[in-house]
Amino acid sequence: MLKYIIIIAVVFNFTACFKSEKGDIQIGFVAGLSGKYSSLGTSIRDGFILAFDEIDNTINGKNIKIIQKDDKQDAKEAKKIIDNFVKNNIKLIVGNATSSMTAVSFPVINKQKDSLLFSVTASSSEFSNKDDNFLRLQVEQSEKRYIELAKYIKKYKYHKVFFIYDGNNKSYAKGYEGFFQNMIIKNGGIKFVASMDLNEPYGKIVNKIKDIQNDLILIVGNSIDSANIIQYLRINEIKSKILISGWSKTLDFIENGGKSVEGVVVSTGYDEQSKDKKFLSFVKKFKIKYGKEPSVFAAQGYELGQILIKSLKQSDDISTLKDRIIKTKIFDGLQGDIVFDKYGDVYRDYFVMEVKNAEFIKVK
Amino acid sequence: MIRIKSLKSKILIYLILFATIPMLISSIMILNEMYKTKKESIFIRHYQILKQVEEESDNIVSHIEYLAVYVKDKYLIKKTNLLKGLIRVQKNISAILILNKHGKLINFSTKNKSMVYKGYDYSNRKYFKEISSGKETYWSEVYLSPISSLPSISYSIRIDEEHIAVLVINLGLLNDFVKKFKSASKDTLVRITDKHGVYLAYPDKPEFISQQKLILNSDIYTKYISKNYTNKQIIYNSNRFEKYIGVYGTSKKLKWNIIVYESYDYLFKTFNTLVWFLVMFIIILILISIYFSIRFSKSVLMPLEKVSINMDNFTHNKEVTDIKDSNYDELNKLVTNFELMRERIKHREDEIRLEIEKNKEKDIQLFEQSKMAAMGEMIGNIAHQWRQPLSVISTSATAMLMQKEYGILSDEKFENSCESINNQAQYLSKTIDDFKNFIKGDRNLEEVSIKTCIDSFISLITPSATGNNIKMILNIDKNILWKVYPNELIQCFINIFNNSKDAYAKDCDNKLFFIEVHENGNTLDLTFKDNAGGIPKDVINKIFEPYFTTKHKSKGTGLGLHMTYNIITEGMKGNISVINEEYIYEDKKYKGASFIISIPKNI
Repeated sequence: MLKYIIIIAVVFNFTACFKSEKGDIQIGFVAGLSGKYSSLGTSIRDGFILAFDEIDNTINGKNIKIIQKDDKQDAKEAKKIIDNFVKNNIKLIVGNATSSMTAVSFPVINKQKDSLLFSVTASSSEFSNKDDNFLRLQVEQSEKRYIELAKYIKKYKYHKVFFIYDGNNKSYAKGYEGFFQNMIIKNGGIKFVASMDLNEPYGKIVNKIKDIQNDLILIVGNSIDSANIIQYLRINEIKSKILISGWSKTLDFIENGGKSVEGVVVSTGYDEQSKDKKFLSFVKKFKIKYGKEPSVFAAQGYELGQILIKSLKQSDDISTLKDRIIKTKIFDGLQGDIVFDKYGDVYRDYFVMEVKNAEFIKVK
Repeated sequence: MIRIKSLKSKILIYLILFATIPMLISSIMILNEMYKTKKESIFIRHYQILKQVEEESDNIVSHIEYLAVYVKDKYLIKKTNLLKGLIRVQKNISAILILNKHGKLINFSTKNKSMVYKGYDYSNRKYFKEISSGKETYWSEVYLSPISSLPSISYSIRIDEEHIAVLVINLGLLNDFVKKFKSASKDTLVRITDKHGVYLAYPDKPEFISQQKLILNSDIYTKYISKNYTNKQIIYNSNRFEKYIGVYGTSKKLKWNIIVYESYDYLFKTFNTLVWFLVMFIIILILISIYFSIRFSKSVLMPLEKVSINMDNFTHNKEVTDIKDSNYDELNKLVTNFELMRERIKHREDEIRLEIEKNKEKDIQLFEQSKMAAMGEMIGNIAHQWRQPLSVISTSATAMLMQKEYGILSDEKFENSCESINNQAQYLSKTIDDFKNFIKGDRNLEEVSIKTCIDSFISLITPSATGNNIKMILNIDKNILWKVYPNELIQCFINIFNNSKDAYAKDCDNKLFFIEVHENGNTLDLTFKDNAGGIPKDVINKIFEPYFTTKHKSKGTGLGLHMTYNIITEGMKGNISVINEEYIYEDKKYKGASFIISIPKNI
């Protein structure tokens, strides 16, 4: 009798352990979640989590466990995190938020047979047109992406571009330095008149701007740094037109930038003023959940959550996830369809927006 | 259908069940009570901490609100000195910003160096918009401060129409405050989130605050916080499958979620060890109980089983073994009494056997007696009956002699007389044969014609019937062949007839005796019915008893009907019963006794 009890107990215990391991779908989430780079990462995370909260974090009876990690926009930290995810057999990883950090995780994931790295915002062309273990929701850096922006610059006759970039995200900055600069040249413009790292002292930057004649200042940085430097430029009487990257297109850019960021333009694929029902519904849900307005990155995080939910409902086999997403090809987005190409890259029309009365407004 | 079970296994199971179940139930109840008490004590401790933290949180909020009022009152007088002084002494304030009515930063003081400069425009910040819209004060949600690049909350107050003060709160202070509450495992006990679930204090995981991490995607949120399950004990799992126990509540002022928690496993480690030991102890006790139950059942049931086997053997005439003495007095008594009973039964059996043999002999004697009595009566009847044929023979012979003497004996007369003499002699001869057959006494089961039996019976009793003016009315199925003891059956008929004959009143001038014989499937039904008025009710149930008679001693022995009963029921496995019956015959009503006999086909 005791023998049978022990056998039953052992079998039960074994199956219980087995169940707890097999019963959950684990998703690693890595982005810069703290410090001045966190605005992007936390926005993506909030949108992403909202999507899973709507389904009670359950797919086909399995619990969804999202393991959040903060790469602090630090390559060493990002490497440690991706290695740790691999070590802990977490096959599906959402991240990183910036191209520089994605560049750290990308080679690690590509060495794995059945893992997938799905970035919301990494746009560097380094990851384009490759049959790899990588998917993204952001349109890759390309000349095509800057067509409208180049037209805008041509239209308003901006010739001398002063380039300020964040050296901590060079992969992203390169896109502007390369594709964007090329487009300007193709449209009859000239090379950037100067470039400076945003992490240099503001005084030094201002002095150089004052020294070198320019009519357009391009700032590629996070939202806090971009807002701060713009505030500083404005209080130092620098009146040049300012162009920011999509990276800093968050609400706290406008909140932190105040009236100083009025008139700032940005090239983007998302419109905060969209009247798309799905987008409005998302905004409403986000506000109820978090008590604040969502940024476009939160919207993209939410979209990615919905794509994963739809695909994981078909099967939670991560090894076939990319193929299934590419095969499905078209997903409902919050602002129109999201269409994946055969490499898992997406395309979206880009347009120019300008800050007017503390809002990003589409430039017609 | 009742399932026959083994008493031994049943008793053993009951013994084990009674030995273990109460112990198990009481153990479970004790453990449950212990668990509940432990949980209760944990809850009380957690609840006290919760209330303390709730109060302290509200105090911190009140203190900041007080400081803001102080800034409002003193700023215009002391200006920068006030800001610097407050930043220096107030640990919970990381920055104080003074905005003008356009939202421009006109003065500020921060704890650490920052990338903020006077002239920065904060008119788009929610705190400025809220105050500008007419509010006197405003508590912000958690936001990423551009001053410190850290998640912060701020409290804004209108100083006057031109100035707004913004006090940026150092969330680290809140973290430091809750650090004081340590669990037994040296982990902190408390964490705080704002009403949207953003962490404000979490000393064990400070990165949760810097990452503005939310509690939303957690077990505790989905199970309890989202359902507003406040001030009650909660048990939940962390994302790493660690189990926690605690209580959660909300602060009064800013509706912060305050969670007091501890590792469930750590708290219940000692308890679990205790439970483990207790469970082991109970298992050992149960095993001991089972062992003693088996032993006890063996020591009690073995003698019982042996008694049972012996009884079975004794019943089936098999060999009976000796049973050893048991340790129990009652069982020894049972065994002794069984042995005594066995001896007595054996003795009684011998006595009964002897008695049966005696009875058999007695029965034979009785039968013989009865038969002799019947024979005597029959001989009397025969003698009476023979008188007439003998008289006929004698008359015929005498007539022939006289006719010859006178020479008038014709051949025809001679032949007629001889024929008459011969007929009478034949009749006498048949009577002798029947009588001879009857008294021969052969007892053989043979298939005979029941009609023949009845005829023999009629032949034997005809003299008596004639002498008593009894009219025989027969209703007999012909050609019935049945296996019977013919002589004994005839004896039965004679006894029944004699009983009826003696019952008729002397002055009765219409004596009837009905005989009906029918085959009814597998039984032969015979009915003998008279019209002698029936048997009195008080004796009708006794008439088959031996030596029971209502007749004068000269007439009856009291054995006739008893013998009849035995022959029918035991000899031929049949039934005999008697009833009083009223009936109509030839439009006349009669009453009499009716003997009903049924004899089965296969005796």
